[in-house]
Amino acid sequence: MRGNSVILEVKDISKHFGGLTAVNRLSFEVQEGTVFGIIGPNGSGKTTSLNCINGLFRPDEGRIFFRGREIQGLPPHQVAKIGIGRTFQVPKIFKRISVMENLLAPVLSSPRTDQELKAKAREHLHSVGMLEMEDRLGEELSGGQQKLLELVRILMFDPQILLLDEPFAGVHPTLKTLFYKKIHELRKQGKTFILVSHDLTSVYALCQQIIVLDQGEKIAQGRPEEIKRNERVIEAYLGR
Amino acid sequence: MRDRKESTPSRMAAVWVRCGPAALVLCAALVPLAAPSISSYIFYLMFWITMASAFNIIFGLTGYLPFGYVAFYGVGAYVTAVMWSRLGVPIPLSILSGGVLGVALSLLFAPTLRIRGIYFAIVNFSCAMALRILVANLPEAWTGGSLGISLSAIYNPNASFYTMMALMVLTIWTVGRVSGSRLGIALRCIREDPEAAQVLGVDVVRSRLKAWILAALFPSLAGGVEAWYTAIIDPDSSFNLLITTKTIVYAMFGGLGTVMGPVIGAVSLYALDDLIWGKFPMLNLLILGLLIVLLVLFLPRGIVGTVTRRHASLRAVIR
Ligand SMILES: Nc1ncnc2c1ncn2[C@@H]1O[C@H](COP(=O)(O)OP(=O)(O)OP(=O)(O)O)[C@@H](O)[C@H]1O
Ligand SMILES: [Mg+2]
Repeated sequence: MRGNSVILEVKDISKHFGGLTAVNRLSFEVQEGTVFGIIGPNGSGKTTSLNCINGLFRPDEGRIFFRGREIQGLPPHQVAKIGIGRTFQVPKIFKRISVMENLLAPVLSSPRTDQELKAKAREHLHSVGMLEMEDRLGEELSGGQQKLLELVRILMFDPQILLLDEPFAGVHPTLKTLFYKKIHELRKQGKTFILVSHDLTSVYALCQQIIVLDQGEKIAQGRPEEIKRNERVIEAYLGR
Repeated sequence: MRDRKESTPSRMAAVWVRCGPAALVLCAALVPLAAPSISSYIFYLMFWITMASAFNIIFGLTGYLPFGYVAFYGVGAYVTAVMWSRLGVPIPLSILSGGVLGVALSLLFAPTLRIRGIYFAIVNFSCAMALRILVANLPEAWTGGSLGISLSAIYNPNASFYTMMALMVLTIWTVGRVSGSRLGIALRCIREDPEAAQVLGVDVVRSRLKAWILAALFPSLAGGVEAWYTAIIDPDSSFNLLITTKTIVYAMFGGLGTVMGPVIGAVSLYALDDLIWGKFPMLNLLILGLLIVLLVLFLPRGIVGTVTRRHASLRAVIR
């Protein structure tokens, strides 16, 4: 069953900034329970695409469907509520509140008690080896720890699909392994991922389907082994 | 190991935090009876604690700096005076109407919350100034023009003193409740990074509106109670920008975003301010300005923020 249904469909979306076209008539479908990779050179529109999906930007054209429901133009907090989680290229940790409060932020409207939520938060912290850090302030964490916190923070609200923007940038190999493990584990639970990364080894290892963007346009799509051999991709990455 | 070393000061702090304020309020309650000569001083101390604490809800928790904060106080004072003197409404009800109108005003200003940072501060300041001009130009039969309104017929320093005390306690209690609640977490997230908060499902517009309404309610009530206490109001003192400035400085000095910060800030600085005001009335503003600059440079987190930053174990106790 899993892997056959489309959880997210992006249809012909475009986003312009003044005269610049950051995303140009982009379309793709993401199958449920898979890891979907988006790669491309700097400034090719990867982050902008994620911003359109989770409501930070309203695409100028095109439509986005989540489980068949049209979501473009919904405010970000509603996009989150329907099950789309997002991490950022530069982690957006709340700096001057505690790690625990950071983790509670996504579940403030949950009907569950504070005790239950805190227990859940501790489980997540434990799973990434950060249990004893719950009282630290966000700003007291290292860059890699911030990335981990950001990941487990969106897990708190149990999203169906996780948009990860450069989760491996500046992360130590050991932590990276932890990330891999986490992603595998979550996939087994049926979660879907969109992974944006410059770390091609990781993308090839984790993703089932990859699209390549260049100057806002999709120039290739396929399975990892197809992308590796694609001439246009090699060109886009190695320069013309 | 770390725990053992830090447990003594944090336990001591816990005792202080629990019993200290209650003891102080009790002492203050005796002032009008036992030491009427300092009762005006204590009244204004409570007034400033109320202002700084309420201000903390919007600036400390959400990061919005309403530079026209005095508007709520002014509206509270005017509505109270007009209701009582022109419509014959009993003073407690007049004060409450001041609170209601202050809240209504905050709803009117609510769209300006879309603007962030210094622009919000400027827009809010302009709104307050516009309001002052509006009030000064309302029919004299209502507002008394530039002379204001006298409330001397209901002058009652003791009753108004205790009302202010109740209001102060209510304000601090509310700040404590909000700060420890889920709304408090939402507000701090918005302060730190509104975009990230939204992406995590926090309804930014609604949460900050709640904070804004609360932050408007208490100064509006305080304006009414103070009008009752002084028994006179006029546009110049009711819309005096210095009220905003002092509120900001007191709250910042003690520590924004903490419950006890604005209280500690108001207590320590009001004493100093009173002294300077009495000795060098001309220099008062200059010194206040200098103090703001120094605060921003050297104590951006205020007393409480600085202490809890150094001693993580105190964070659970002093909030
Ligand atoms: N808020 C914005 N305002 C104006 N231009 C923007 C904005 N966000 C992105 N852009 C532009 O859109 C283009 C695509 O940017 P985007 O951040 O999506 O690239 P990216 O593929 O994520 O790059 P990187 O790999 O460097 O993260 C760039 O040319 C960028 O300058
Ligand atoms: Mg990017």
